Amino acid sequence: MLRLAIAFLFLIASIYLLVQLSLNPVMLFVTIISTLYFALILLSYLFYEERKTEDFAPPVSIIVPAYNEEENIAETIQGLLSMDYPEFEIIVVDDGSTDRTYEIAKRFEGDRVKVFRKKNGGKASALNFGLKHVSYDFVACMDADSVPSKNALREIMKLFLDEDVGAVTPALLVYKPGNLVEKFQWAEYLTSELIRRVYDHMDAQYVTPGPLSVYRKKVLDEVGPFNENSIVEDLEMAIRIQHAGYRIAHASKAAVYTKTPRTWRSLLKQRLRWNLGAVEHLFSKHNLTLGNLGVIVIPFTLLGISIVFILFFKMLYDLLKPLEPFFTFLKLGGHLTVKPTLDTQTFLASTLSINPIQVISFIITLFAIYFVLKLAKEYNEPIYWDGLLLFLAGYFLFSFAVWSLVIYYKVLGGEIRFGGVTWRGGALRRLIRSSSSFPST
Amino acid sequence: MAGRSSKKVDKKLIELSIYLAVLLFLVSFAGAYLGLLGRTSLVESDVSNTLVDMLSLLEIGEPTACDLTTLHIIGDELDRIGQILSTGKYPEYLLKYYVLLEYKHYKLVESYNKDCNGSLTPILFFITKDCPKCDAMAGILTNLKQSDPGHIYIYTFNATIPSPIVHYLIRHYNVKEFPTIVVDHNICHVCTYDELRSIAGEKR
Repeated sequence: MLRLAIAFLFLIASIYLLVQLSLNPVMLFVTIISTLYFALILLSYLFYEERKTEDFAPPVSIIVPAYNEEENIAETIQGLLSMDYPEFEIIVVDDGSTDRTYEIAKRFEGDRVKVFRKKNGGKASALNFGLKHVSYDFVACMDADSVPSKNALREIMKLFLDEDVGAVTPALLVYKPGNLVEKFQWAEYLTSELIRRVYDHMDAQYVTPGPLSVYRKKVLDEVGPFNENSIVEDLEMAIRIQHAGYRIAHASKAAVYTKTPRTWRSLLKQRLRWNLGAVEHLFSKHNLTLGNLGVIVIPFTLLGISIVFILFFKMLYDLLKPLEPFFTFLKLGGHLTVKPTLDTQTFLASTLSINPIQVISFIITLFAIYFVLKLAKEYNEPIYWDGLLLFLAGYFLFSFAVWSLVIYYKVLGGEIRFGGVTWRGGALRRLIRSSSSFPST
Repeated sequence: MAGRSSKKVDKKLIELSIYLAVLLFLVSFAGAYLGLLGRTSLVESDVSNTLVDMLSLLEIGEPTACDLTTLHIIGDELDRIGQILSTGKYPEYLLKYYVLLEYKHYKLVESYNKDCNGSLTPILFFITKDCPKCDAMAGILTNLKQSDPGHIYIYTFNATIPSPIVHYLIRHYNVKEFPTIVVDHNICHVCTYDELRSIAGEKR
């Protein structure tokens, strides 16, 4: 604790230095949080090392829930069948598709592939249905629009040699990005891979992603089935696994390619679902006891959201400030006169100097570019420069749009349907609904 | 027992991250300071050049017999600097230079009127900050200037500017309230457009 206290003193001293430059306190807050988070990420990444494990290849049951996936299901099943893995079964659960998903999947039925059909009830219900038909002690859950690399399962299963591991996640990559929306996500997913490695090092992973995650069957029996009322059953399951004391490991050598939204509208809807789910299941004081996840990751995620809003409004202010003389002109009834002000310090600080915030932003941006390029090379991905530039320049605007939608829906929004699950609507709407249902006296 | 360990916080990671963040702050502070030194040296070179230009302008700004060329040269320089001042981002010396040029221009106009039988109307306009009446009078004076731009010249002196010329003029005309408008030794504080027009007309 003493060492930590000394470290904090150093931090306060350096903040004092920055304050002497009369930096805007809001930007100072943004800089401190961003720098601390960047330092955490950088160090965790430097400390991260691939766990040295032996080969471990027990039989695995792979559940593939599918709803209206006639375009993808064949490729997904073929991709699974071509995996380099000794023994596994594939359980396709058609969740009441209205297209030819079931018929196409049925063509593959055989020793290794079982196909079921059920009434539409959402992905979680399809997964739970599949769980009742698994034969083995390890269960993989995979989306019907994902394609695993040949060695994905082999790399994932090695990590289960550690008995503390309750689930394992792979590296998620975008499947053949075509348009700018997909290339934007290509850059984002590579950055997320960096974060996943870091969170693995911290034992702070809070989602077992839908495209592919593998669970120990006894852990699922212990924590219970997937929550059929949740819009983010993968995140909700991961939090329960963390609370049960298990580790969620990350197999960075296991690549899974997933098809991502092709339009901004569908991408926004996806992220709205993810983040509404995060608000419900992740940002809870119940999770503060989860070690690094509770003390580091969740608070920094919340601070990061506040930074998105701060940066947006600062950008708006900077854009509108040059118009100030125009408003003065209007106020004087059309007579513009020179009104000089004396502010040498402002002049020095803003015009002559490069301030530390700019230097830090530059360093962080350089590292972001470095990591994306490094990981792209590691996974033999082509570089989509337009996607990368759009991601670097526009990610915070995109985040602002997403979180604004989340806040709106959380407070005022009505019910939304995400697949087979209906999200119940904002707090105000529910209040209005519940008060209008009271009988009049 | 597997999977039953409570989750621990990695204090060592937090400590090292704080040290790294401090190091990043110091590096960025040093980088910003070096950047400032670099850009300051460029500005110092600019300032030296500007000082030479200023002295050159003042050298040629001596009254000559009935020639309005110098007046126009100084007028153009006033316009140029006025545009920089209107951005709100300028060094203090530029503001004082502007005041100096204004006064130079005013003296040239007075000399022209006296020696060449000129009919130019110089108007001194004293203002201060946070002065709504000054803003109102500024509007009226702008209209006046626009009515006869070739003959009416308005010289604005802000009392808050630490310039010896401003201090001198304020003492000379005994300016005690703001705004104060001086037209050929006629002083008014809040005048109407017509009052100013008639004073300027009498001068002509």
